[in-house]
Amino acid sequence: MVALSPLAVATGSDRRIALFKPAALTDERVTHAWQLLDSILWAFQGTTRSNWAITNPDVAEVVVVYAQDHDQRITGWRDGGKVIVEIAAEGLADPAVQNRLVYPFRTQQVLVLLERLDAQLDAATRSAVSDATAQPEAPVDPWSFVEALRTLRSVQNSATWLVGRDGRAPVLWLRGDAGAYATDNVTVQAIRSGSLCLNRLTLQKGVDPRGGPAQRSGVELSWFAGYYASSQLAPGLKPAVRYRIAQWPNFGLIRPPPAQLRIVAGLSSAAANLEEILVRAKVTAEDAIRTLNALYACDVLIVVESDEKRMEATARTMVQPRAGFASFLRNVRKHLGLGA
Amino acid sequence: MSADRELKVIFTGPVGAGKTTAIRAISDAPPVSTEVANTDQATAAKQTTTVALDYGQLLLEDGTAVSLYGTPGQERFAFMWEILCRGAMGVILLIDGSTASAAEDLRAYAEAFRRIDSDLPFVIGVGRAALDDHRLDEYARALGTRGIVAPVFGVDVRKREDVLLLVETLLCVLEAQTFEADRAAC
Amino acid sequence: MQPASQRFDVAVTEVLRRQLESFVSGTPGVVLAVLTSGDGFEVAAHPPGLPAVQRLAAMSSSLQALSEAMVQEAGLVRIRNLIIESDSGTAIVLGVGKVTPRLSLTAVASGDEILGRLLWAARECCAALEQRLQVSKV
Repeated sequence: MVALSPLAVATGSDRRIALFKPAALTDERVTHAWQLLDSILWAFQGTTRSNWAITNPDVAEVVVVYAQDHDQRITGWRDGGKVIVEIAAEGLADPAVQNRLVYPFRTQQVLVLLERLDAQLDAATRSAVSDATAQPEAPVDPWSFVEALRTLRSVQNSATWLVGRDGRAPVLWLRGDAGAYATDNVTVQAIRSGSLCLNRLTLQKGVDPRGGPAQRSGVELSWFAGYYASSQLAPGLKPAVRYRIAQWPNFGLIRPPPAQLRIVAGLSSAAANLEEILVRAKVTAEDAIRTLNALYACDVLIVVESDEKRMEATARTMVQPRAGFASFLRNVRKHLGLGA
Repeated sequence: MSADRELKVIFTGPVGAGKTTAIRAISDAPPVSTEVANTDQATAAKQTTTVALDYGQLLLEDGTAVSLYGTPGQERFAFMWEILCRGAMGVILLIDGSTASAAEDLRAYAEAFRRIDSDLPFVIGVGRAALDDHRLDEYARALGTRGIVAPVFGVDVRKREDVLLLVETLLCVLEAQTFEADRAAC
Repeated sequence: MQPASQRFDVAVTEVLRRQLESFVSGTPGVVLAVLTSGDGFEVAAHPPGLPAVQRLAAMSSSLQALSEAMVQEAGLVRIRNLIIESDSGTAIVLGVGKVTPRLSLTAVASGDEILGRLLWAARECCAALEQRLQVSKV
């Protein structure tokens, strides 16, 4: 019998465990098994070395599944590095399957299992840390992730999926043509705010995350990866070169601030180099550089050769507001509550 | 160019794409509509349809009025598109992304309005598009092959902020065009 | 665009066309009469088959709807007629009584038709159309 030392309670981690019930349950014992496990986890909260919180499988470190459940997501979670615990309703515990609970199981069996999982996860973390500290950390190339996206887009293999891992943990799934990606909402917000270091991710062959987190447009990932990559121009861009855009990114998804809208609107109207962008769109150098980088990451920039005619702006037969167009724009924006 | 003529933005697109809804989302007063009973349920499963125009308005601080016109969606009212587009600042083209004809609608409307005025700036809002809808990219590329570089955004025109995104984008395009025109004139 | 015969009951539209024929032949100066649905489709016309009829039908419904909106905006009650006078003739648009779906009569007359007589004849035609529609279904 394992004694629960009071000291053990204070030294563990916060762990996340998911109870993935099968869709169609015909065996009553399996239903009882789930209820029992749920009750034990609740009743013994605070008494185990680590705290075990029940979460959804996308963010859990451990996922409890029914041994006879052939849901494809389980394979995906196992491949993705999550620890899988099986609940079985009959037969003896198979010694080859270490993390298995056979109903009816006792509380002590569950607690022993939790201790073992805790140790297993600790060992995995120590291994990842020692791998990382074994040699001096190589400087991260700020453009590695963006260039990977651009390469995938050129290869156009939409039949495969890659998984981006930070150490052992999967962070996102990326379609082989960079046209779509999938991850949890917390990670989406981190990507959109620039707080996730995408360049630390390693991309490896993975499985289609169907049934997992909702897929999102790859344009969103490319835009924000490019925007936050660096405050310097991307290696493929030059300040004196004139660029225009081949197409607009989907700003219905990206929701850029007004400065970025003005920059892109300008580049759709006429080609410009960096200095011309600053004057035309009335933006800061950082805004201009980062927006150009984002457009570069989305592969929508076209170089305009110096001898190519600038796109002619035509004198349209548009009515001019009485107070002048600049004043009109200011008033409309103010009236509609749009940013400057 | 007369300073007293109307300033206007046109909302167009096929039946059911959300033109009336979009105008209502930003008009300062409830828009005037010319909706009548729809006898053509086979083409558009809507109870009513616009046969002349929707009319909304923005009344700015300095007294300037900006007219917001919604066109009828059906091609038999194409004469209204021409009439309403005269002197317009720009067009907001709304497409229903859930219909099988979305790509064809986009092509047809974009080309129709290009024929009416080849320099008229337009912004395209695609409704009912999923977060991973790759078709928006395809729509933009297809327009690009026809020499049209126009914004194609996934939006929900029931939300005011989405309609404002379309309007703000149109304003930015107009601002950029005016800058280039002024620069060329110097 | 679908011709009238495919959208509305063929037998009924023929009855209505004959009523329009009677109006056109019985009213000097009238060159065209079109019966239009509220959403701009041609229901019947005399003379039949003229290329301008479909566009006129759509335009009539637009004008009718805009006029009703204007009447409402102006605080007036119930539009009666829409009259468009030009140097070479007159076009009028009238609603056809209480029928469902809503219908309008558009009549085009050359310059020498007296407006009062045209309006009277058009209203008589509308009354006759309404009566015919009440015994048939479009």
